[in-house]
Amino acid sequence: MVGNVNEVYLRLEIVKQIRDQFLSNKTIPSVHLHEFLDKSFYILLRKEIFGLKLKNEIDRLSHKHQSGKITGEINNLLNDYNLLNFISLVIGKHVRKIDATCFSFGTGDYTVLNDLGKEKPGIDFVLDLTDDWNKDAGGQIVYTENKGDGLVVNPIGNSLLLVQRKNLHVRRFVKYVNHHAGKNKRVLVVGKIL
Amino acid sequence: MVQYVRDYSDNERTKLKKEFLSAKPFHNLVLDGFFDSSKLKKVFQALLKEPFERKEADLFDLCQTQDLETSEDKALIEFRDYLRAKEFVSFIESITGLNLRAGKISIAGSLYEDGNYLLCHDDQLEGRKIAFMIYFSDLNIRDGGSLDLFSSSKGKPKDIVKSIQPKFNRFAFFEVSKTSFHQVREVIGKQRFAIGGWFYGR
Repeated sequence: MVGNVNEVYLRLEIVKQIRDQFLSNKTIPSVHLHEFLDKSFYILLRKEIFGLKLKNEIDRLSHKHQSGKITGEINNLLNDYNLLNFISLVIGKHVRKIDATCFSFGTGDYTVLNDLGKEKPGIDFVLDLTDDWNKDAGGQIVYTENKGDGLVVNPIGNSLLLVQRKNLHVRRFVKYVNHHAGKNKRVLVVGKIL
Repeated sequence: MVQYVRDYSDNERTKLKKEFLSAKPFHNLVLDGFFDSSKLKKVFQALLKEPFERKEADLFDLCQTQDLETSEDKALIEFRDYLRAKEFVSFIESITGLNLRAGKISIAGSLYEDGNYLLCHDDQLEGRKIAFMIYFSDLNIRDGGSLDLFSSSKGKPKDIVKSIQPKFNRFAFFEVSKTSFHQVREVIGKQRFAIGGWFYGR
């Protein structure tokens, strides 16, 4: 499947720059890449993902959102060779597969930091499918190490966020989505890199 | 000492205690027009002169003053001292049936503006026995900003059972426990001023 990733990101010199940028943040290595997917592929993928039937997930002490596992054809599209190869080069580790889940955040939805929800160190893959987002609506992805904000990522459609959580103290949350979101949804494909 | 609250008879206290202990989803009480209105207006005017700092985390986005312990304003100092004095703490004890520590409270001003919120939590921290709020703003249901109290099941919050809407001179308080789950609903297009804090156990 050639053509899923924006061609700009397939140039070796660009990949090297991105890898350098990824590693430059010593505390929370990360990179946020805009216009990541080929535009027509992004539109197709977004349409498929927005068509998924998601389940309401509510535990008020930790999260409120909708989610659903990505399987079948959409999963195959995500596990495209160019994409896996690109991520492998950036993080410096062979990526065999992305195990992805779709999360949708509407007005009133959120996740919070929760000691019970500590994840093992690893690399997060977050593909953002949120278009036309009101900047006052919240919904930022925030990575913290202990109490301080380490990284705040604003919603931008067709962007890819790669973040390395080096230890158990690096955790993330999605900031409460307020009424400025209206009926718009903050949609993220979050993958475990295997 | 300046008096902010009228005297309550033993009968009145007994009635309020019954109301507090039978309230759902956990022990709480809401008293309207509780403080002397003109004196409370002066407290509010003084509060508006205090610096409010934006506080933002996973659980909240709001503005807050420092603990009023640090305030140098006469009206705020008097009000703080009144709330933590033995007379007022005894009044709260007589309603809640709890043993509270006179002389020690935490107290700060809060301002919620458009889009601000405080997500569901229980308030439990060492020594906290009673959480209280004194409202200065009048907000309608469509303005948000209510203090929502949740029922619980298996130690987790379940449904909103009671919503307390901000209203000038409304005094609300509840017993802090491992299931005193509550939130401040997102404020929409308004300002919500309040003073809140905690009484501590002896």
